[in-house]
Amino acid sequence: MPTELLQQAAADNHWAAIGPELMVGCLALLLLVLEIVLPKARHEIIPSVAVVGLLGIITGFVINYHTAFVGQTTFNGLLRHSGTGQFLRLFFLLAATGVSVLGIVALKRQKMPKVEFFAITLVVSGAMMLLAQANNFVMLFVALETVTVGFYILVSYTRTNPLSLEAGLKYLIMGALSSGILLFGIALLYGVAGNPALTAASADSMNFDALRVFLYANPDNIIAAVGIVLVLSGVAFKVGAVPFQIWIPDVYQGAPTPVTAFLAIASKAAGFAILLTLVTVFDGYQSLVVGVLTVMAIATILFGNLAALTQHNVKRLIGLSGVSHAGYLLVGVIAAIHVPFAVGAICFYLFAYLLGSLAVFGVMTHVSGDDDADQDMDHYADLAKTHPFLGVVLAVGLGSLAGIPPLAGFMGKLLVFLAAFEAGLYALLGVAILGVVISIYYYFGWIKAAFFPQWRPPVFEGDDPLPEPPRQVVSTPAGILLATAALASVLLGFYQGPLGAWLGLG
Amino acid sequence: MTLFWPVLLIAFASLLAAFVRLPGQWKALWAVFPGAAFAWVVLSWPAVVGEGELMASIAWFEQLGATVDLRLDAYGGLMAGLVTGVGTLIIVYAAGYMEGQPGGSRLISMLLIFMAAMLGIVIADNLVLLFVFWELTSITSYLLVGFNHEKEDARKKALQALLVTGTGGLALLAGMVLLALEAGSWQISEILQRGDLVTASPYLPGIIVLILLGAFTKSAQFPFHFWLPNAMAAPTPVSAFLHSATMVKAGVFILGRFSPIFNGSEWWHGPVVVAGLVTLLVGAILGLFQTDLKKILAYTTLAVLGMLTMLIGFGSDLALKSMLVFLIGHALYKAALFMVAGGIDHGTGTRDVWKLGGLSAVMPFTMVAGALAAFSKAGFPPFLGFIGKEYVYKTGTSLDTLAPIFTGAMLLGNMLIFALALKVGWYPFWSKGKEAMLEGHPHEGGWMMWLPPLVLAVLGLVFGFIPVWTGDTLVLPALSEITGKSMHEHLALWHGITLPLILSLVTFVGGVLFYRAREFFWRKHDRVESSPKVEHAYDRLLVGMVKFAKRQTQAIQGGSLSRYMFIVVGATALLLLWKFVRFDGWPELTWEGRLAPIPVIACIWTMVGAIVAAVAKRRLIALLAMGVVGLGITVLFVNFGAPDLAITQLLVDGLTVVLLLLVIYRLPPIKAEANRWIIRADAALSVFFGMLIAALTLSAMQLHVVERVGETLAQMSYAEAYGRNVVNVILVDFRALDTFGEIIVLAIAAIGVTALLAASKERSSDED
Repeated sequence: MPTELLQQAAADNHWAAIGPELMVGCLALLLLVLEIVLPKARHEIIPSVAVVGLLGIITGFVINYHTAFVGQTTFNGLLRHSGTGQFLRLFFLLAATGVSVLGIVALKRQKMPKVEFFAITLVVSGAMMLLAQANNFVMLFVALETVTVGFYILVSYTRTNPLSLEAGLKYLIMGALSSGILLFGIALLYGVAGNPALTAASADSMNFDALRVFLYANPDNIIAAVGIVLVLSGVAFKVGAVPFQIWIPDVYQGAPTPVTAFLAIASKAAGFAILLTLVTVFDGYQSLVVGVLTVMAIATILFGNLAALTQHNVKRLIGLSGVSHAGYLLVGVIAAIHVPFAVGAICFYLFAYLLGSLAVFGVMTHVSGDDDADQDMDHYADLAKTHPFLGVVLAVGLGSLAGIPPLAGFMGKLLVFLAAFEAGLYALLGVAILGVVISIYYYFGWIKAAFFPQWRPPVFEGDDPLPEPPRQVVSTPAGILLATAALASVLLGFYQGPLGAWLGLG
Repeated sequence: MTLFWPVLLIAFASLLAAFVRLPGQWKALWAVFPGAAFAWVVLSWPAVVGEGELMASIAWFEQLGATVDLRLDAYGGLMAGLVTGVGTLIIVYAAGYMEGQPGGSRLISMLLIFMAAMLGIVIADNLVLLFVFWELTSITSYLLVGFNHEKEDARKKALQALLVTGTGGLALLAGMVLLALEAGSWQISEILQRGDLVTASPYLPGIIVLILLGAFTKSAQFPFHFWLPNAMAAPTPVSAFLHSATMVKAGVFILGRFSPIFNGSEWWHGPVVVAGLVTLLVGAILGLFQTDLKKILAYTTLAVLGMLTMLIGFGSDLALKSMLVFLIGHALYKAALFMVAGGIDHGTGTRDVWKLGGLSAVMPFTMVAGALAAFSKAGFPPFLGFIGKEYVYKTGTSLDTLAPIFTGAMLLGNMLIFALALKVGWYPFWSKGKEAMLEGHPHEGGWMMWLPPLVLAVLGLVFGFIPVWTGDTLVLPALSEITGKSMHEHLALWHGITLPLILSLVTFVGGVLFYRAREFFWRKHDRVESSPKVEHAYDRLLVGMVKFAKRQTQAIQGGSLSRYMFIVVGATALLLLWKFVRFDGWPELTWEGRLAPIPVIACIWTMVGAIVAAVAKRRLIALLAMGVVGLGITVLFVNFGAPDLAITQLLVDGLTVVLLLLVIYRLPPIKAEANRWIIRADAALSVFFGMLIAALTLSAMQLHVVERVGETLAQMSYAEAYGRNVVNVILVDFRALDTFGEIIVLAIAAIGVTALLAASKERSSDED
């Protein structure tokens, strides 16, 4: 092979463009090295190294976020750097930081290896950051599998707990199935778009740009249509859209709480990052994509909210309510086909969701006992009285998730709905509003449990006076995280400032 | 910018009250804050009337069209005065009411935040901002109604109120977004200017219906009226504030606010008038049967809200004027009566009319307040209530169509309201022979409990005495605002002997008759309560929804992995089928007339392996069968000229089998699936899915690749890579990177096997 070709290919590799990802990867390796180098007694500093390192990377990223690479493709067309991609990278870094802090709190109670959790979290978030910029199906799939394999481990992390193991197994099997579906779809698209017999076929048919051109030129190809549907189904798994939401409640319940948070926040956002990219790629099959997504969105909103209504285990509740959030976001994705600012709206929604979820999961981490899967609504009784700080944070977080004005979650919902309005999706909006009404019922049920104590029969001597597990003392880093998430949820409702401007909303 | 501070001041006071615990009666000091806001409204009134409006604005969220626009016009200012004025008295009253009970500071803090939100509604000039305040009142009222949260009932009713008003709020939001898109502005004052744009819009019916839904739920119009009597579970200061003077008026308020736009549209008058009429009659008639003082008041509130809504629905200048007069009068006397009812409850421990009587001696101040408020409500001259009623009749008799029907309904409604007023404000004090039935010692509360209602009741009298001042200063500026033209006709107490006056006299007679027949209705109370009502439909809807939610969740999310797999594969199959149908992509089956033996054997071999794997009762056999499938595929690869794939397939397959063997070794035997139907369904789905994939593969085959890659590679083999063995060249040169990847996959799999083997060895030596 002529060497010029290789050189040319290598000239496109701007390593600086993926600097943050590289640093996250190096940080993960550093943690592992520290575990070997440091004496056992000093191991507890390793999680702090992860958090401090992440904060450092975030600071660097924020200072340099407007890199010269925005708008370019690098690595031979594998990556495309866009404004949305930049935002999502920051999003994943923040999510990883939050999850790591929660991990420090939650892992204290478990007799499990401590270091691997943080290393895997870092690797997974690095992969998500790449995923958000993927411009090629190979890149997308490899990054996605890195994320998924990491989650297989994280979900069954507390392997002495049978529920965690069950969750891990279910996630593994369902995840493998979904990857299979996705891969089959990719293969079909690759095959059909690389077929020289068809117009606009490309030798590089994994590349999104080439694929997009091809799909435009061949609007009625059954193989391409099937490929698109299968790819969408595979992605629907990641975002938890009905009927591919099926793994969510069991896995969310069984996984350790920080991992559940990670799944709920980052994994879902990653799915939407893919979806936003793919919607533009599949532009030539717009009616097909809109059809599939519309049916999914309606089913997702209704199912998610109705299913969440019946839950007493808060982890299942938050999981199923997360399904409904995916439904609202799907509405946004459909709107994004016609209304450009919908992309910014989705990003804002995700950010508000990140803050609200971190607040709620943070409180959950402190309220849960040794058995992480057993988190009943009743455990929250009197929370506002015994731990006013946690109570307020919970109320703000849940209020933001429910979309109560003027919290950030309300702004996010309003933006997405407004985009849908402009796109003329009235039926979907009707369903979405119905969903929001139902969601008020269960979110307030939870707040009610924390703030309005129920009457309890008097405790007799010898009985267990506390039916709920002991609550954790809030440590300083966790306190800072919770306070930041809650405060930001309030403030973002009033003032969007640079964030709004960045997302093209200001 | 001064417009901001009343809202901020009250919100700040709320925050302060949450943390600073004033002792006992000193809590009344919190009234200073709303008092200051009230004073500000009063002081800026001349400027508002003179200049038409005061405005202030700061940026908020431009993409949404949301700016914090505030605007104080005469109509909003009138409501702002009521909110802050009545609010000030309520805080004083609440301090007295809660004395000696826990949670007083909390109640006052929540009342204040509610007040700030309510003030926000009436001075917001931006639709998004209006909605934000609107929902805030819903949420805070949820907290206030559920204040006595030890009671299951209070919690349930609070949630009911929240769900009903919250749902309506979202409908309102949808309506307002449509309105803003059609008018091209989010600013309310702008939209009012562009009414013609809105009325020309094809979405007009949708806009009206959605906004009405919001307003009707908030103002408890039929059929959403049931939450209001239920919300009486709240402490009395809350009811006096939320359910008489303010929150329930918010719906009426925005109806009036938007009426300049919608006035004249057929979609507007009909629904508004009918809803108002039905609510008026339902409220007044059901009120007759109530035996709880607060419930009686709640039903009369319904009746009055119905009356106001109906008047807005008529839409004439006269009707709107009557609405305003009635609204002011109602806010004054109804809040006073609620406070009186609370005072009676406080002093005697009961609100049951069967037990109350003869309190005039022990509670003289409360008695005076109650009597004055009741007279205003009953419509005796010269109270403001009388003027309101006169104007209502004037409106009724001057209607173009159906005047007798509407006037009749007004007459009946007013008679009932008259009777109900006496029951609350007169009966507990003057009825004889019940003193013995009261437990404990009935007593007058402190001044904080009787002064606020007295102030309001006296104001009702004063305003009635000076109708010209009341009309010119308060009513006419606000009226000009909602009719959009300047109004000059004075308010008057005496109109001469006219039809309205005669109707008023009829009202007195009828009202007295209803009052005298009170016990007849009270005895039927239990039967009426248990009769079917709209509320039951709500309950059934809620219970039904929860039940349905449970069923669907159990059916779909039961936890069984095989069920999950079934659903996912089934959904994918349906999606595929849909594509085939939609694109008509069924493959054309052609027969070339010959079969190559090796692929046929390999296919049969593979199928047998798959079937055995599916039906095998033991894991080991199933696993070996899967190995057989892998071998069959390897043969196919070899046959179609992909030796590298074949090698990889063989090695990976072999490794997987070994890996799984190591795992299976430790697993318990398979439990047979008990349900035969599940097995059949699984089998049917598998066959269906398999056939779909086969069809898909066949369709893919029909896209013939023109160029034969193989030939090109064979030609390039020697020229480019100097190798005669094409397969070798492909493996190590043309596709070297692929081969490299395959080697890595194999190496990783091998490492995995080694690790597992080592682990199992270690464990078995541990066990020994």
